[in-house]
Order: sequence, then C-alpha cells, then structure tokens
Amino acid sequence: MNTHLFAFALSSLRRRGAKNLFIFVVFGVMVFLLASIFMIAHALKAEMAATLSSLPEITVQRIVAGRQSLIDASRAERIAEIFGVKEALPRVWGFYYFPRGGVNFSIVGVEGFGTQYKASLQKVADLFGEKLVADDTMVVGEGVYETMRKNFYRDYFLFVKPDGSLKKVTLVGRFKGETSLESNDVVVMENALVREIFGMDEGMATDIVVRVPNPKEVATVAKKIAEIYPDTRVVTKKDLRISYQNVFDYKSGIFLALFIVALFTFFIIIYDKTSGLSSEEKREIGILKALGWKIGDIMRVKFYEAAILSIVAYLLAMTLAVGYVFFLEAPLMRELFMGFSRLKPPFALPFTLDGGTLALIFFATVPIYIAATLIPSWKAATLEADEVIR
Amino acid sequence: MNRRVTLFFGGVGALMALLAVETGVLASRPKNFEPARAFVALSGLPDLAIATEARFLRFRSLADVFSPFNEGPELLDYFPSSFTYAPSHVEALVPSRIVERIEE
Repeated sequence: MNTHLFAFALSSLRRRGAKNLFIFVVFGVMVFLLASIFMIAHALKAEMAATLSSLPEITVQRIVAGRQSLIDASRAERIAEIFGVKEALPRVWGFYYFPRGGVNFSIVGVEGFGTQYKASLQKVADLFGEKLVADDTMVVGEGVYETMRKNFYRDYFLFVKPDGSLKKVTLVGRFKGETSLESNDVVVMENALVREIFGMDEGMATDIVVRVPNPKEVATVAKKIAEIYPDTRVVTKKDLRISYQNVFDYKSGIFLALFIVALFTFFIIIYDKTSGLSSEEKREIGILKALGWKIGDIMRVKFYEAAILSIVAYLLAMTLAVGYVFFLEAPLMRELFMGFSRLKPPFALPFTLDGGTLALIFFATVPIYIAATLIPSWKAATLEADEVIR
Repeated sequence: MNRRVTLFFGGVGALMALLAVETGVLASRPKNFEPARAFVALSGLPDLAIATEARFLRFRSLADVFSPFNEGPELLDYFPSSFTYAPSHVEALVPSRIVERIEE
C-alpha cells in the first residue's frame, strides 16, 4: 500500500466532507437497519431451535371444516397401541382472554401437580412454599404475574367460566426469567381445572401428543395415525423445524418492505455516483494527470477513498447493531416482532451471529459502492488531461 | 508514516477492537437454554410468547391454516404482526393457494 496516496485519499475525503459524510451516514444507516433485522430474526430462530429437542415428536389435532376442534381423548389409547409409540397423552390447553388487562393467557394443563411434576416444576419455576399439592393451584409466567398484580390479584386469580360463574385459582409459583420468551403468557394448572375453566367435556382434549423414542419411526407412526383417523392433522417435529425455518415471511412481510426502502436508498446513491463525476472532481483528475500522475495512481486513490468510506461505515454500523440488538434489546425495532399484544416478554435474545447474512450484507454493499466509484473515475482518468480540464 | 494515516488506522483499529470486545462479552455469557428446554418439555408447546394477540400468532406452528386468513385464503388477515410472522409451513392440510408458494 502506498501511504502517500492513502494520505492523499484521506485528505480528498475531508475536502468534500459534507457530501462524503452524507454518503457515510446513509450507507451506515442502511447496513445498521439490515444487520439489526437479520440479527433479531436469527436470534429468535436460534431460541426456538434450541427448545425444539424438548418438544413431543408428534402432535395430533382434529380438523373439522378446516378448523381445529376438540379431539376425543380416547383416541390416545388407540394411538398408543401403534408399534413404536412410547406414550400418547391427550392434552388440554387454550387461550383465555382477560378483558381488564386486555391480554390473552395461554392456559396449559398438566396431568397433576404430583411428585413427578414437582421436580420438573422446581427446575423452571420459583415456587411459593408447599402449597403446590393443594387443589386449584397454578404456576404462571412473568408477564401473567405482572398483569395479575397490576389488577390487584396477588395470591389468586378469578377465572370466568363459560356459564359466567367464577373459579378461584391460587397462585403457587412463577416461571423463571430465563424462560420468559417461552413462558411469559403461560398459566400451568391441572387438566381437570383447565377443563372446568374452558367448559370442556371430560372425554375431550385439545390435541394428543405422541412420544416416539426412535426418530426413524416418526414418519411411519405419523402416517399410521393419519390412516386410522383421516380427520386429523398430524404435526411432526420435522414439520415444526420447517415451520421455524420459515417463521418470517420475507416475501410479503415487513422485512421486504424495509429491505426495499434500504436498497432503494442505496441505489439512489449508486445512481448519483455512476451518473458522472462533478465537474470539480473531473478537473481534479485532469490536474493530477497534468502533474504527471498515472491512471493507476488516480484509480488507486479513488479505490482508497471508496474503500475507506464503505468499510468504516460497515464496521461502525455492525458495532452499533450488535450493541443495539443485544445490549439495548432493540428498542422500537422489537415492536415489529411483538405486534400490538400488551403481554410483552423482555426481549433478551440469545447471542448469535449469522456469518452468512453478515457476509451477504457486506458483499451486497461494499464492493458495489467501490465499483460505482471506480468506473466513472476510470472513464475520466482515461481522457486526455487538457480535454478534462478545459 | 503520515500522521493522518496513523490516526486513521488507529481509529479503525479501535473500532474493530470495540466490535471484538462487544462480541467477546456477549459470547462469554451464552444463554442457558436448560430452563427454557425444561419448560418446553413441561408444557409441550412450540413457538415463542412474543406476539400473543391471536392464537395463530402465538401458536403459529400448531395453528390451522385457515386461521391466519380468517374465513378463507382469499381474505387477508388484519393483525400487524401477521406481516412479520408467516403462516406455518406445516405440510399436512395446506390449502391449494399456499401449495404453489411452498413449491416455488
């Protein structure tokens, strides 16, 4: 590297300070915006993928007229007879709307807060004393806990049953903060209690989960279930993985909108650059040639200028984006991902950097910008000096 | 070396060091997924509790395909967050209009 030419390039950037600062800011903002969005999306996918292994292998839903409806719990017994199935459990869960808070709770039923659940509950929740085994108790996520407290429910909550009567349920625990991305809106209680609150019949369930220990048998078991019960929709873990991969709709979503805005801004800069140098810049090239500079020297200075501007802007934008997403928890931008639901978990994302996406952003911006600077400069530099100055 | 060049490379070096420190700090405290895994094992439910305004957003992977489109695939949905979260691409029971999109 020729340090004299490099110093000249730095001075040249300073001489046209206002214009270069504008390009620097636009370039930086675009990279920052894209990098932040991709980082958040990647981190959310990482969070989901990390918990995929804990999910049941198969979920069986009953579909009536294109909508999911309650399934007969006794079907679980028939499914459990299929070779390769370890267990099939009818599950009761659903959405409960709490009008005062304007929020939806996800109420999830478990077999019973007996000893077997106490051990697993202690791992994920802070339990308040020994009240767990008592009747009509629940463990709630942080968001639910805060909502209840705001509405003056400290030790218990009154659920409204379908017939309008009230059901008092005692609060016995709160899920730990580390689980809040999964558990924020969740209320866990016994199956019988969930059925009572939702007014469901004893023999009915929301869906059936099937455990299949051998992953190679999952597809066959899923096929058999679909053959025995043609009105069901059988969702396997593989389906969930595919679903997670496509969680963000890049085709018609907000990402595309943002991406297009950013890309257009960038193309306007490129267009401005390639549509020709200003007469002042051309004259400068002419004078340099008249002073004895070779075309190669001029191109080298122009390359340094473009590389300094774009690479520094890229680095600065990346540094800011990492801090913005993982230290500041992406204020404003997180609203895109959270929607307008009032029950919002803290946006503590796991730290992941997707090298491929960062490289994609780099190669979609930096080389294009450098090329857009070099081509018109080369055109001007190949002309005769007197022609350019005149 | 020219003072300006030295200053410039010093600045770029500082910026890269800041980025390295930032990623180093974040990488040194990786998120412990064990409580989250244990919770998911307990509840057995997929997806994140981020957008909870509708069931098809909260339990996106288990939603039936008509929910995001309300009464049918012709009617567009109305939640802002459904622009962010795509309907689940679970293979079973996909209405004809979406089949074309999956095969693209």
